[in-house]
Amino acid sequence: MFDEMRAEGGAVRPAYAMVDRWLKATPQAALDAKKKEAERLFRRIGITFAVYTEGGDPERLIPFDMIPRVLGADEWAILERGLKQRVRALNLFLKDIYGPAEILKAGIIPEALVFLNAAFQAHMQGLEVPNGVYTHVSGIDLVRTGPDEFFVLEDNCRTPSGVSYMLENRAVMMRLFPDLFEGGNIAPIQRYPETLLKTLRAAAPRRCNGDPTVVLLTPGPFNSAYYEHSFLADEMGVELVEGPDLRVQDGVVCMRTTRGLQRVDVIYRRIDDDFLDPLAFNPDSMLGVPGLMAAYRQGNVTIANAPGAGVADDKAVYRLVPDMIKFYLGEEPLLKNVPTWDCSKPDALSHVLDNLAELVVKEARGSGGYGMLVGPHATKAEIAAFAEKLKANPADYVAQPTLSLSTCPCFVESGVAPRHIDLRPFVLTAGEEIAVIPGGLTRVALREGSLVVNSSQGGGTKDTWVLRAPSQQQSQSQSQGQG
Amino acid sequence: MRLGIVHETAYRYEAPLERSAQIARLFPRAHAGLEILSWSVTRDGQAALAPFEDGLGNRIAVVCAPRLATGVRIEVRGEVITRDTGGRWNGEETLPPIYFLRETALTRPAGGVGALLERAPGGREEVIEVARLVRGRIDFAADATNVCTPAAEALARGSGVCQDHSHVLIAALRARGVPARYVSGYLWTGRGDEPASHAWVETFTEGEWVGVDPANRCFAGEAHVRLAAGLDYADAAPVTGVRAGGGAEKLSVRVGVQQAQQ
Repeated sequence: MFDEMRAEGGAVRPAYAMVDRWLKATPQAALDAKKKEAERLFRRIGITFAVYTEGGDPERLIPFDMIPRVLGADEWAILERGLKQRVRALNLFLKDIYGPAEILKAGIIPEALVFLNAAFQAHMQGLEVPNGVYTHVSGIDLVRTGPDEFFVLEDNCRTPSGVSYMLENRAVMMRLFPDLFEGGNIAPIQRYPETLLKTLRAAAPRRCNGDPTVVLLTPGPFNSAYYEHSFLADEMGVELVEGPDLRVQDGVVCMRTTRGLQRVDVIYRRIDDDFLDPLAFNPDSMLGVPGLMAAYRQGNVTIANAPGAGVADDKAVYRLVPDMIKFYLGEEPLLKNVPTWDCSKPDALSHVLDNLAELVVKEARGSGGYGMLVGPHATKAEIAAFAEKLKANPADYVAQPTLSLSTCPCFVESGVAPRHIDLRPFVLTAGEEIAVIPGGLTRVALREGSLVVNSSQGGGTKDTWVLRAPSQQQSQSQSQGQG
Repeated sequence: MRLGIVHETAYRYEAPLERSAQIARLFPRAHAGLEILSWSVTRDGQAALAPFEDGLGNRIAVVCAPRLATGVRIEVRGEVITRDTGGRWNGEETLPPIYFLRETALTRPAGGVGALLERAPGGREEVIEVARLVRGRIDFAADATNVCTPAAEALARGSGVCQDHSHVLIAALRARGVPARYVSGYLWTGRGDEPASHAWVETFTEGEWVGVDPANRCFAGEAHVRLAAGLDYADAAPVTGVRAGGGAEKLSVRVGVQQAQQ
């Protein structure tokens, strides 16, 4: 098992030297007090997360662990390049399948996987989106199993969430421990909202004249990520709107304001495809904006992320992302995939059924960690029940080996102990340029031994530090020396 | 055959509308079987609507009623020349045939629909056979079903209209791995008293899309004017929409397809 902070034998890895010094220098009582203060801060900010499957108060505070997760400058440099490569390929794939479909003609991805995919949207067919970008905001989930062993666990190209936690975790850490951030060793992330706004503005449609107006479209306060929607709208200084605030007139999307109707050019939508436009998608939805897709097709508005982008993050398509990278970019993938069995294939299914006790089985189209089986942690009865589900609808599932996720020290009841973590970096793009925010959201499985990090399943979060390269740090300290 | 078409869709509301938006799939595309001499679609007698192409290749327009309107009237007037192509549709395709294997709520192969055909039709002639088979299982009855009736329910009732024949045939073909889609359009019946708004099916057979009309047990031909195609009625209906306000709605549709003077 790989621990992020300590090598075998207990030596502290270089990236964690600062964390180690800090932990040693801070008395337990002071840490306890800070922990209470952190909780108070989060309560006051109001970051909660709605959990659907449990009883009781659904608005729960996501546990925050104060010990940061740290990535060295060299480690990050590899990840950053790999993430850019991957998001570039995912966008090229989406542009291709809603256009000439070269990758299908080349036989690299089966037609059925795309055209019979629930996430495929015929309404996107033949529509030329600005700069060929479909997934403007991507959350790429990574796990680590060794010093140089990073794997992409899944791609999120629909409405990935969690970035507000990344930002609030940093804000709280800087407030609790300002000393740690002096010296500029830790790459800043606070400009995320600014970068996001810049990305969205750069995605403006061809028929936008002048300064693009951006809005954030939310399903409303009952959505589990509503806090994040209002947070990001505030931070970007754009309107937070719901479907009824928007209307389409003569093919143009307008928002109602106190000064009358105002044209909207870019919609950062945080609602699912189905609820965007009742004329195009779910006719029963009252959340959406009738005529929105027509305005989009006529080049009068940009929807980010694009409807139908979910085909790229489908768990059965995921298996083929390395092939996409080779096909579109002619490059070897820099980030590895976890080997994945597509249970719709009979031989894969029989392998999976024979090895359920060792595998992780996920719904091909699910998210949020609901309805998955972690073989090594399941009882015989759970495995038997899951096998029946799997046999009934094999095409709904994919399976992966159970990875030994890296651990990172956390504050727990008994002191400090290792817990499994993952990482969701956020990648922004509106064209040629791709920005990766240094770090991301580190999620931690707080239950001892657990591998499920989803906040809906009792996971917590940590601040994520990317250390600056020595050259960057030097210039920082020099300028401070002069000041 | 030279045909003149007049199609009026009028909605009346008992209260003023807060807002309403409709998709009008009322613009045919020219193809080997259809030459368009003139065509216009208007709302409430205003300037002609300008269509654009949707992802399925249909030409459509969005119709928004003015706020507080108590009615919306959409009027189609056109003149076309139809030619018999043996049902063949050779218009440009935006999606590959496999897309038209997708299952929808209206075309789920439940309740015996999936087992209606023993196997995929082997060619054009067998397509007509299966159209006859479906027609034989569902008698024509104007009020037995509505636009929300799924294929399985129509088959169980044993009665319905052209859209039920089409949904059942589509579901049965897809269940055998044969791409099929719903087509809405106009039909010249040669008589004034029969409905001229019509639905039929296109199926991918022997490497081409072929229109087949289960209600009339024939290939789409000179009497058929194709407007739009999609996975089912909901995807291809001539006019569908959403509205807020307006109270109860009264819909009247008047369609006339006449053989035009040369």
